[in-house]
Amino acid sequence: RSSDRTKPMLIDADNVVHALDESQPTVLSGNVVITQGTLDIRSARADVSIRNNEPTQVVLTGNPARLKQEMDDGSPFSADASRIVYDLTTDTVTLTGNVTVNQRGNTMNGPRVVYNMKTGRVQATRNGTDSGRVSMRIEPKNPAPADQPESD
Amino acid sequence: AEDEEDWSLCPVGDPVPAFSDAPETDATAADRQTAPTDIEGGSLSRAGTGENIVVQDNVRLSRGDQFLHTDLLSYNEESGQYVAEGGVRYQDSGMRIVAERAEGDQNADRHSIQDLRYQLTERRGNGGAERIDLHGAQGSLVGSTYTTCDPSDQQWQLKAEQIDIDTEEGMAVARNAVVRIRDVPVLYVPWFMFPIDDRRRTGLLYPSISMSGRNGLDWKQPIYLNLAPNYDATLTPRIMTDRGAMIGTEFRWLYPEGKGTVYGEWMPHDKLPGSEPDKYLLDDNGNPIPGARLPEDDRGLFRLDALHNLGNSWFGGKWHARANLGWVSDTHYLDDFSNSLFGRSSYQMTSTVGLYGRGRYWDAGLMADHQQLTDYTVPELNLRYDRLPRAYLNWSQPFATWFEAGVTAEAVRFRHEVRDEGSRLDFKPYISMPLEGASWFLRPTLAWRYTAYELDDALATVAGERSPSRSLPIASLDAGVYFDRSTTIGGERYLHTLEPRIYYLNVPYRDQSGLPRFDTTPMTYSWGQLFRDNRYTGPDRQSDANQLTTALTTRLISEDDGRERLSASIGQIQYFEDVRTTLGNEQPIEQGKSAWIADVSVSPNDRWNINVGYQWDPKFRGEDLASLRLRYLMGESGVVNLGYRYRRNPTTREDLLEQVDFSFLYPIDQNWSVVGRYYYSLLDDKLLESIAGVQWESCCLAVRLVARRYVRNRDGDLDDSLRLEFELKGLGSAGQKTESELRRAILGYDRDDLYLVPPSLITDDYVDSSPDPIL
Amino acid sequence: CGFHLRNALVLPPDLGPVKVVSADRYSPLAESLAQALVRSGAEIAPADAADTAVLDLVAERWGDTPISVDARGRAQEYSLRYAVIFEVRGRDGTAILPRQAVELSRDYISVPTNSIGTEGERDILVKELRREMSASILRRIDAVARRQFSAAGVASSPAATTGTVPAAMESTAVEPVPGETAPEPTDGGR
Repeated sequence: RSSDRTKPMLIDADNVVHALDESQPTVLSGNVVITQGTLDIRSARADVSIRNNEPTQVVLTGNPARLKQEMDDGSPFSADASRIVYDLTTDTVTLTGNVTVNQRGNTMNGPRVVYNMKTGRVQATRNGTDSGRVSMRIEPKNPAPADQPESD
Repeated sequence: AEDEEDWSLCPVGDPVPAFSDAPETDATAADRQTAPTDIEGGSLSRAGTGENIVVQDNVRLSRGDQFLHTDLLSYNEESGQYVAEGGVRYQDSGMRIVAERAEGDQNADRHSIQDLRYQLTERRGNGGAERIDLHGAQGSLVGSTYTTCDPSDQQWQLKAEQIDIDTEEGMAVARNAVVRIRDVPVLYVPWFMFPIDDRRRTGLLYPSISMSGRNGLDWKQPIYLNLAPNYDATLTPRIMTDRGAMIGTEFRWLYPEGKGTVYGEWMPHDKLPGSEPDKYLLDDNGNPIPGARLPEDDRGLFRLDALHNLGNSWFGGKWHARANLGWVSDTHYLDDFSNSLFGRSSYQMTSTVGLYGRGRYWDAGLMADHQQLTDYTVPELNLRYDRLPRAYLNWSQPFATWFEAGVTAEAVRFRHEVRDEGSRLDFKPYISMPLEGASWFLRPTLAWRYTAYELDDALATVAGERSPSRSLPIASLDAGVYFDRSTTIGGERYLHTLEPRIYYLNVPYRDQSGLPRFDTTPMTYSWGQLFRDNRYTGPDRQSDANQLTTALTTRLISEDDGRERLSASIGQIQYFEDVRTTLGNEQPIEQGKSAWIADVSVSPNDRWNINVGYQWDPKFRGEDLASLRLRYLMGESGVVNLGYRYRRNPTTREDLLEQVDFSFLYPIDQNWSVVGRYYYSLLDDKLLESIAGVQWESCCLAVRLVARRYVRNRDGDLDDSLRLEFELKGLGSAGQKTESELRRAILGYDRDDLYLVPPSLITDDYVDSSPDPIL
Repeated sequence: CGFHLRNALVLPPDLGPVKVVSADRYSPLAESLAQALVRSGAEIAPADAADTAVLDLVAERWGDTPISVDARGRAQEYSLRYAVIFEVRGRDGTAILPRQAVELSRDYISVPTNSIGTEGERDILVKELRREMSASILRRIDAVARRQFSAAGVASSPAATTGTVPAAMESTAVEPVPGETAPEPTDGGR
């Protein structure tokens, strides 16, 4: 939700290394949990860049690193990847390393996905030279009663 | 069992090969609405929420049984609308399609594909189309073609404005269709339904087109109606350009207690009689037949064959009712309508209705039969008597360990249009003592035959009384011994048997010259006749006898499958006294020796089969019968038959027939086979039938051209008929195949025709067996 | 010259009780085969007995086809043909005698201008063909059984009880017959 920005950001991690000035990102490592409004981030490590006391970018790595957020229309968005770069200024998330994106019941996988949370713009491609493929599963409008897909 | 289409001659590959990358699934069209859609590609992008997803680079989409491959797919998650561009390959449980462009709506399961080539997964049906609109299991091809041939070898093609296909029902309907054979248009059909899988299905069967001097262009279009699992029908409209139109219909039904078939043919107006009036109005030597009229209108044929098993069992036996009815509109009908020598050789049609029962030791029946003359050259006088009604009982049972007793009894009321009528009772109890060891048998039998009549006036005056009767004892002794030995011939072990046998018969003479002749005639002199207690077929004459038959049979029975590789028999009757009972203009048989009877049948292996029958009469120092039948089975489906028959008429001593019959079916190679027959009567120095035919068969088309000359009518003139038949494999319904009819028409076209029970049927589990001999 | 009186009809060694089954419950052929098997020492099991050896008459077929026509194309000689498909299965269902067919035929004259009474000959031929078929089938069972004996190394088949055994049925004695003639090539189709 775009209203998350106005919410306080809570950060919890095993250890935190604060940079002296804003030129270095704050590095959180060990069971990192960041929440802000509907935003919920879990990862092994997070590098938060701050400019004039505002977080501008969060780089998460984990096995996998997980990011969840609710879209403006209330539908849930969740993404897993080994590396997630969340650019708060452009509201764009770039995920690489067996990425799984789950949004409005459809799941998407691929080596590299760029997702704009505000406009819904998606770009899933190969990651550099590796031969990974992109795939997407769209759930049926009236799923068979038997195999109800369990949500993440 | 349904006969499957034979695709063995087709190249192994499919016209549209299966897509290796399609996921294995046995889902069907019905599962599509409830299955997830998986899309996979090189890259995926979406401009914004609600916008289309664009997937590129070897895109694969699958849902339930559907699989789509394309270079570029643009798909809207919400609406389900999609467009696929380039390298489109679509597959579902019913068909496979290769095209450039496709679009559709996954939610509504509607798709439209342009410039496509398709193949149906069943029966190799394939072709091209400008466009196909798919909706669930239905699809309609616009501006399309359909064939079952391989694209590399287009023998025939159905080109249609539109073909609607329903893979669920397994049916397709073509509109404004033209059938082309090697791009020669052969048939235009405004509406044409055909099956696209092998289920028994209402639909058109193969049209059969033939030309003949008599009918002109003869076009039959059978339509198979699969009305219900246990009854179906076939309608056969038929047009003969020189004669007119007619309709044939056959209705078959099956139910737990029985089954039946009704067949009818009707021709409102036939131009043939008009074109050859003399044949119908003048008799053999040209003077007009009184009261004869041209059978031009309402010509037809009717046949009914029904069987019903009665559940209850009376007198401890199983009873069933059976009816075989037949009717033709005029005595020229069979002559004018059948196209094979075999079809028109019968000259009377018997209708029978009866109740038949059979128990452990007896069989009995109450029946009635009626004869209808179907041959204008046979006078009404020669027609058999109608038996309205006839009751019979055959009973024989062992008793008191050494004996066996029984009776054959029959009561009949004989009726005839022309001949004098009457009724008869025949009662023949017997007792016999069948003694038997492993290597011998001795069977004395004593029977008493009592026959009584109730005659109408004319016959009563001939017999001298209204109810004459005749009764006499019949004594016979049948004895035989068996000798065996094992031998090896050509490395094979055989059981070689030697079986001498004697049969003594003693019957006193009774003057039967006054008795009527209802259903009796001398038996054909044959091997069986050596061991029968009467020379005549019916009770009207019981021949007197004081005779002894001596006979010898030897056999070579192969020890590994028990089949008889050789069997030879020879026998003769010694008449100790003259045989004085005669019938008609027969001469009494003088004392002395009868004709020798020799039968030899050899089948050294499964390919050769030779039968020789020979009868030589020492009194007249002449042959009574000389018959040779030779058959050789060539390769997989080839056969050569050679037959020579000479027979002398036993009573008149004149030559009855001397004929040669040569026929063959030779498969030159996988595609070409030739069939031929030459059936010539040496006695009348006249050709009876000659056939020359060639068949070319490929993966999807069989073409048969058969020229035939055969005795067309009773005046013996020959008719030439040229029969051209196209079989578009896969276009006709699996219900019935004209090929089997053609098999009947050409002798031995298919080897199975030679056997009453074709070898190919033996492995078949379901084999229907007819309990009673065909009446 | 090596001929000896025939030994008893030989039955496969471990045949056990046999039931004769036919598509038609009261088929006269099944009845006469059952009688003949009894006379050769087999024990007939009732039709509904389970796990016994089975002589299965799968199908009986009759055919009456013209084999020669006169100069005017009218049939004058017919061949009555009788074919039976049968197999013999052991107690455990294995085939002692694989499914096979026997086809016999007898010719008879029926001249068009004098065809009265020929149906009587046909009925007599039907009875004779049935007796002949029973003898043919028994000969096949005997041949296969003999081979099993010689295969099982038994010098010769067991000596049969040589006493006179009353034939229980109307003459189903194994009569010599002119042997299995080749079926007539049918003269084209109907």
